[in-house]
Amino acid sequence: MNISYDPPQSLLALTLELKESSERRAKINLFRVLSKLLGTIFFQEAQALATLRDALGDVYTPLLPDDLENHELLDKFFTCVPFTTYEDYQLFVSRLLDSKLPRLSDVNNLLSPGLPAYIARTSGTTGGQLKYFLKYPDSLYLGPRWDSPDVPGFKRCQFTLIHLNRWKTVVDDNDNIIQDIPVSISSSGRIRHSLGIGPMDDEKIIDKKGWRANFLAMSYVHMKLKILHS
Amino acid sequence: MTSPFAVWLLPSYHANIFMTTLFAVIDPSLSVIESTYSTLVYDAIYTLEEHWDTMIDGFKLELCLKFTNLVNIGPTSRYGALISIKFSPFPAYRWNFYFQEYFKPHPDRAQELRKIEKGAEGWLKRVWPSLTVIKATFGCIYAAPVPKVCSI
Repeated sequence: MNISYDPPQSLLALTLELKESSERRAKINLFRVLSKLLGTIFFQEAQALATLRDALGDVYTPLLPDDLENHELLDKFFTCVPFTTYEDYQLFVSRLLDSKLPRLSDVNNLLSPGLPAYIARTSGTTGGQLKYFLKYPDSLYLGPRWDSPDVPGFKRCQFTLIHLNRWKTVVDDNDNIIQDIPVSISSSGRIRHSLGIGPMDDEKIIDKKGWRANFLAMSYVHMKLKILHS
Repeated sequence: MTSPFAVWLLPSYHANIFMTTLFAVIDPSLSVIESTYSTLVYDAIYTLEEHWDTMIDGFKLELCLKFTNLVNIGPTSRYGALISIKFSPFPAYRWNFYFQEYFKPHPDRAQELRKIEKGAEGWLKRVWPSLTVIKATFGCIYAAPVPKVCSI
């Protein structure tokens, strides 16, 4: 069977309805991110956000998406926040990554509420150094755990890796362990997080039949191309 | 999933590709192949073509493990060199133990596969009659393997 590769013509302009819909969706998403950001250490301390902090004045209470229409947060964000690069975030990432035994009081609510689910590491092929991104938990990306009985009904072959490079242990002021945060390439961290595979769980899963929940329906949004064999 | 979690923990890229493909070949009911990027799918097809006889020759685990060596497995990948995984918390000699349970003799399947002409048009559809979707990133630089994937 030979499948012709004939992608649709590029879409050069959106319809007005699509354009407005896309803009509104982008604004709502940004609004949600900003609402989370307001309670973080990054918001309180980042040099890149100094002008925004001054513009907003008193500490903000996280807002709901319904408040979007009558709120000036987005306007102030667009006018007050410059283009940022990894350098703007590195100082905050290093508080967690470079500390031998990071304390909860120092790293909680660092870039988003709570603690990261995992730390994604880039390949370092651009810029000559590895970059690290704190990935915070989101229920959208959580599926049934690796030991759940709800095994999908169809057979998939997935090429992936779930290696860890290391992990950071966050402790409280009494040195009690609060959380082990894995450090890995992004896909490894994402899969481990979605399946609930902790840093110490490798010995438990290694002789188990592998599986992942069916994210195909969700994946249609992100897929660059689907090749269908019919 | 057609392979055990152990495959996802293998310490080298090539061993991972080889063993994932091998487990998939054993299972004729495979319906979806998925990877982050198209290059992995390309490498899997390339590996399958290159080591077709080794894989289906009775599906002998010892042979495959020796062949992969879990570090130095051919073929020379055109794209796979982009990724190098060196870390593994498990010593190599234990892989045999972890895979053994899933490696049973499959004489009927091997016989079935021997009738397929590897590389012929539509041959993957004969290996996996239920194969319906190959999902990966095929955009931008990852479009390079598209002709190869479309021809099988």
